[in-house]
Amino acid sequence: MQKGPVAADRASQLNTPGTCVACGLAAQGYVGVHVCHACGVPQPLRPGEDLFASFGLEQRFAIDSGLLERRFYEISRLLHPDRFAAIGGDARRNSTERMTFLNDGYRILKNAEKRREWLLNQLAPAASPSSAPRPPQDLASAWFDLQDDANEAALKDFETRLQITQNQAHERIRTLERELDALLETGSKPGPELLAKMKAELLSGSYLSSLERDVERLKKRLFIT
Amino acid sequence: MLSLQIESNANRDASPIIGIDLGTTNSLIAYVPPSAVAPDTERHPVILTSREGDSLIPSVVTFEGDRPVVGHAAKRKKISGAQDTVFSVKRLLGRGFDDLKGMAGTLPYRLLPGEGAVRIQVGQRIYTAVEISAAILRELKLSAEAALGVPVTRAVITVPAYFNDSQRQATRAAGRLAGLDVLRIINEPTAASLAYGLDRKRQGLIAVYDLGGGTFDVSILKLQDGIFEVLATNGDSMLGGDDLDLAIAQAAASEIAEQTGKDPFDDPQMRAELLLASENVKIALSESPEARMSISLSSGRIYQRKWSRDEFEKLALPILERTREPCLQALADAGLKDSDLSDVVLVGGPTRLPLVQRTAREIFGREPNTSVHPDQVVAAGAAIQADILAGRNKDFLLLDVVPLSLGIETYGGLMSTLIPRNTRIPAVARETFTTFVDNQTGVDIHVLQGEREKVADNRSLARFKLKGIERMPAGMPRIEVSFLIDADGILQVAARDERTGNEQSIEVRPSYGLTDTEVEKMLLASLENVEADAEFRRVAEVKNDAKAVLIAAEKRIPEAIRLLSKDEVATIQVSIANLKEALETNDVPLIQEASRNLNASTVHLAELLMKGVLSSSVDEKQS
Repeated sequence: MQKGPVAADRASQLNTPGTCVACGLAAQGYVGVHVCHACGVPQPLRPGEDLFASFGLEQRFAIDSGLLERRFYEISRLLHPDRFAAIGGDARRNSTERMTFLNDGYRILKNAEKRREWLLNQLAPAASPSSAPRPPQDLASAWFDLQDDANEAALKDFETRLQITQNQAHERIRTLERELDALLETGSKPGPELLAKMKAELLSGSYLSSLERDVERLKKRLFIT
Repeated sequence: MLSLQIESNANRDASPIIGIDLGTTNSLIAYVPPSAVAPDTERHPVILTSREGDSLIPSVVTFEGDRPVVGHAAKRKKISGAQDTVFSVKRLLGRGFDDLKGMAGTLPYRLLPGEGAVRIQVGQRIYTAVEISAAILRELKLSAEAALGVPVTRAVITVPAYFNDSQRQATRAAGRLAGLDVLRIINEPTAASLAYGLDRKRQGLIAVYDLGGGTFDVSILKLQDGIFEVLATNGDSMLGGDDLDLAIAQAAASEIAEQTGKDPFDDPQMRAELLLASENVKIALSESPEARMSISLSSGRIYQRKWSRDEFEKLALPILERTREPCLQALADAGLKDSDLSDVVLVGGPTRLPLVQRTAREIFGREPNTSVHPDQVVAAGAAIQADILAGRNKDFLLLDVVPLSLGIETYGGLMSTLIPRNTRIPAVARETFTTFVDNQTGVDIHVLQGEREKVADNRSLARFKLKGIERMPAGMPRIEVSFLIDADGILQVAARDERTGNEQSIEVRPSYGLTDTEVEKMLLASLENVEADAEFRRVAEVKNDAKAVLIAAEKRIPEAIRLLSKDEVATIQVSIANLKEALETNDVPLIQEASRNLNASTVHLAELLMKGVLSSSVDEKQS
């Protein structure tokens, strides 16, 4: 890794945001952020680029996943390091860095839970949840009982209850999501109260997901080995 | 005249990149000619023929003296020269002796333990799997050069999707040793999908079920307008057509053993003959309901047997059942049901077997597609990827994933995953770790690959140390570990102390048995000498070890005279003289025996010296 000179070089590249590092023309559209529309040269990654904007999308909790995929393919087709394998050098390095960012962004935006978490963190980095993540009390005690005495019938019953609780939680999250997106649509910033509520729901949602994984593990231990 | 010359030049590619399918049983080479240029038309690969005139080049290496011979000529010697002829070397590539315990008895050639990678004994010489694979690749390179009429120095080589990092690095090393710059290692099922998708009407979600000679892979892909996105991949790198041959051979062997009282598997030549006859039975049974097997035994008797397809399928079924789990896991990882797929593509010679087709149909609940050429499609796909990397095909793009999870060892011997399997590459991942002992000033970063929880069940890729951490209570330091995989699948790992900014990083090059320096050394040696070099190295290693024993013994002579009986001292002196004599020769077994004898004669002395050390240290403490 040659650190000094490369870093200096990069810094000078970053001095002119919005214009191509190679030909100097102004970047056009969401594709132009990644690859120059005129000369096809991949642009260096800037710190703090917005994930949604990378795909030409507005910051929303709910997105069109088909559109996301089309955009991902469209940009990859021009940006992927395989396009610069025969060229090498800065072009290859910039394309690798940017493609890594794009791959990661696609992974996050495609997954509803990760997408919500990321956006919430953007809108309210310091917000604390409106309440501590609280698993429904009866569900938690049922889980402890199950670990003391795990039998097939009890496990099935528990799974059903967990499923119902999860469905209810998803419904609440979807309602909040619509509410927040409606506000974002009008250009206004959602209030801290609403964001804190969403944060609490996401936390208990992830608690339920991890409980679901624990159930799978318990099932394997009980009935497979 | 002039115009003719221009045209022939236009058809010549000054620096072609070829695609290579380095198979367990057969290898192939393919190439997309630049003359297919009209940019919007499909760029079709052509399969190149070998110097022997065939498109299939048996991955078999035999030796005529020191000279390696590859291909059909070598395959013909599989029986008569069983002990000098190496086949299925791909199953050994990037593996250690311990990984292969189960296989040693099934091959006619001998496997030996070596540092890192397993060694293969051929006559008096010892080779690594990298060297044998390099001999195959060199033959492929020469064949491509003969077919294209220009030097060939660059290639894309395919490997099973489920190959781990050391198997991939070993393949790269073999390429280098053969004089090829390996631009990319790509997965066989992915390559197959590139060739399948040449026909642009083929779109949607597909599964590639790839059963080769020695490996099984399954990949789920999305094909859309020239984009080939790998969604999930799974497999078993120890499962293939070879196992079907072996099942037939073992059944026949136990019958022969019952009749004659002698296990034919004890005789390497008989073993090779049985395996070859079994392979022929398997191939015949894919066409007809019955096949004959006839083997002349060493006693002069002839063992004859008729195999029905039913009988064979009973043996094969449990082996093929092992393909089910990887298929279901891949579907689950892709988040799909079998009904979401629009096609199931069969790849690999063994998929010609009706039973294999039935198994695939049963797993995926649909009639599999047998229209692609099961032997040629992988090499063709490698050539398409070569064409993409050459910058000639801008319509196609492969979006690939890591086949196995990558992580580091954490407290309690557990693996913590940083990059889960099926993550798109290039990829980066960062995680912060801390210390678990007070005042700890260094941490070991142990890089792992695999899906299991315990470190011991996964593959160790590399280790390095981050030093200079400030003395602090356990849990206080913050150490950021980052993993970076580029489009070539090469992993870089860095660890950084967030407080001091101190950083350590390495490019992960796992031990496939040869260090980079060793590979360099081999490259410098002439082609003909590569084999002799390996032997020389082996002799040198044995001699060095023996010299160490000799020096240690000579140093102890005065103590021996003080502590041992006259007879014992005499025995040691004779053993020393014998070892000195043996070291004058290059006879490995002789040197090893003399060295063992010397060791044995000094055991008593060593015991007495050890007791002395213990009692004197006790004395010191008491005083």
